[in-house]
Amino acid sequence: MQVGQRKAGLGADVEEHRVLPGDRALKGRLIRTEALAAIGATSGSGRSLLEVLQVAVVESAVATGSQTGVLYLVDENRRCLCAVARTGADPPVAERFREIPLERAPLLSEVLRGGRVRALVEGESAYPPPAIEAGFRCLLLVPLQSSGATVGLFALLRRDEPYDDDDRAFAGAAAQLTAAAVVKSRAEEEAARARLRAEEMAQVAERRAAELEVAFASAADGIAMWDAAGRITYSNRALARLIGSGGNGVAALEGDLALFDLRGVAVPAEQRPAARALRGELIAGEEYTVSTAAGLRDVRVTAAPIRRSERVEGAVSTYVDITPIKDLERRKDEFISIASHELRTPLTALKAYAQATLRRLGTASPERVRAALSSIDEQANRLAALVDELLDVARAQSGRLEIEPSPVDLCALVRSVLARASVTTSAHRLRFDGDEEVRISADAKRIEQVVANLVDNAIKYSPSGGEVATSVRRDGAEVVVTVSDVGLGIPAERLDRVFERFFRAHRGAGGPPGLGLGLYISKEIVDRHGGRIWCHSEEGRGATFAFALPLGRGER
Amino acid sequence: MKRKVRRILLVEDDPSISDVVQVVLADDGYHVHAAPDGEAALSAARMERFGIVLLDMVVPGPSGKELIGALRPHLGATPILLLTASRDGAELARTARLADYLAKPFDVDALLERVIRLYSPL
Repeated sequence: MQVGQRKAGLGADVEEHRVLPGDRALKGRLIRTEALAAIGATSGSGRSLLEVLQVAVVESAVATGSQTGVLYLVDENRRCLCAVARTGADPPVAERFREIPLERAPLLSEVLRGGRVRALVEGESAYPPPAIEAGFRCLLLVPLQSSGATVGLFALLRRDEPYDDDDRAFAGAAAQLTAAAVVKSRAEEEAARARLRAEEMAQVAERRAAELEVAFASAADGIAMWDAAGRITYSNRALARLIGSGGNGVAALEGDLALFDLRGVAVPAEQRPAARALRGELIAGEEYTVSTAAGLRDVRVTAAPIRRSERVEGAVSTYVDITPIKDLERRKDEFISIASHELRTPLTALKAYAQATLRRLGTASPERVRAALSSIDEQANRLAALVDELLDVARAQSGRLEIEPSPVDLCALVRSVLARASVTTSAHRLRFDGDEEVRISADAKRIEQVVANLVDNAIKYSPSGGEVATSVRRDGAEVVVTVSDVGLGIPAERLDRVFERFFRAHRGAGGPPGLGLGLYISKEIVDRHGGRIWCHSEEGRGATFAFALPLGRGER
Repeated sequence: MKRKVRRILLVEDDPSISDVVQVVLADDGYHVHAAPDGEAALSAARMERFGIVLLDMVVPGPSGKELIGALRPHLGATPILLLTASRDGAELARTARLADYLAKPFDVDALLERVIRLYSPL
């Protein structure tokens, strides 16, 4: 419609001002010029590519007096030509040539390759038989080229009159405009796709940033980000928790005295993990001691450079608080040396008694042999007790400390422990104060082990003697057993740790012997009975240990 | 001529080890002064002279290197034989310039061999 209207307007205009009637060649030239202008105008009008191509094929067909025109674009992927716009073709014919594989169209392929307009008439050897079948005797093939790329071709067909040079020139110009429109449209599509990709990437980046923010903020390990100048640009909550917030907090990581190596030597600023990462080094878990608001903490540090196109733009470092692990390691080492000492002592005595007896076997009196053998027996018992203690710890650790409850009189149990302990000391007065009888359901041997451990400790930790007072009392639904001494007591800062594995309230050379496992095992035993154990102490003024066990229903 | 008394200072806090070492050495004619802790060892060294000191590394009171340092001025040339349940006995014996060491548990024969070899007559 638009094409027709514009043509009518133009025709009037031309006839009025420029064209002499009958000057057919000139009129044809003007029509062609108008057609080119129309194609150019449409392609710049923001219409869709298909609309532009439709205008191009119609204008070209009209301007060249062709009965039919088809515009093909090359589909590089499928190696074929696809008809995207056409005019004048009978639908069955058009359908037949909607898609032409390049390998089956040598003539079209040659035009695409050669890049030149080609006019053919029936009779030439290359003339395609399908065109003859459809009643066309003349064919004009025009490659669509822009910026050196061939994007497709025009096929214009006439029934009779061969295409002349004017037709070829026009078709070449129309093809150029059309090809430019195709290239421009494709570039716009590509740009739009790129914009979409960029938007998607921005969204992904935004989401990733939000995820990382949450991950960093909720991470259990301390994380710090550094810029290239070695300043902290981000640090998470865990890091603030680890090294303490405030003026001396995160910034203290950079401070001169903040970081120590395992020998306790301050690490110079340029040797810190983050500083090394900023020089490109990858630090995969080094252990340091860091000075924090809450005292010294052991940390495992990893650090990595953040690179962008080979340049280190910053670094990220993480700090894992390994103080509890290190503490346990230290206590384990200490325990192993204590256990080794404790096991070697009876072994030394046992071995020496055996060898001394052997040396004098012929001459020694029976009394002496008996005394030696009884000492050997005593040392063997001491070893067995140590081994039992070690086995109990192993069982407690793996949850296999078994409890076999039976009716027990707790008062009788405590009294019998005291009776046995009293023969081992003359410096201590052992006192019992409590009810006549308190019957509970418990593992008698295990509870006896707990009481004996508390009484032994009371004696052991009051080396100058004094009273060891025990009591057994009902208290509501529980029965409470206490053991008090007037000995060394426990330093306040160690009081809440006495039930930990391998913990010894008084360490170092010359401290009372023992594996440091008795209270840990006692707590495990009491826990397994559904009870609780605790202690009060003031250093230098003795200690009171107590445990409570649930009473049976009939005993409350 | 009457044979002189051969005196040994034994610093050992474990009574069972102390007992058996005393028995073994008495059998071989030594007179053993047993000290159960650092203080007792020091007061014995101040009062008497000994041909050798058998020293448990860890005893109550002054102990280890500290005890060795305190004992030295009173000992003169008397050698110290370290008895230790620790694994670094050799290291300690070397750094504290002790005559020798025996790791617990030791053989009675090894103890006597060292005592005979190291004993420095008064």
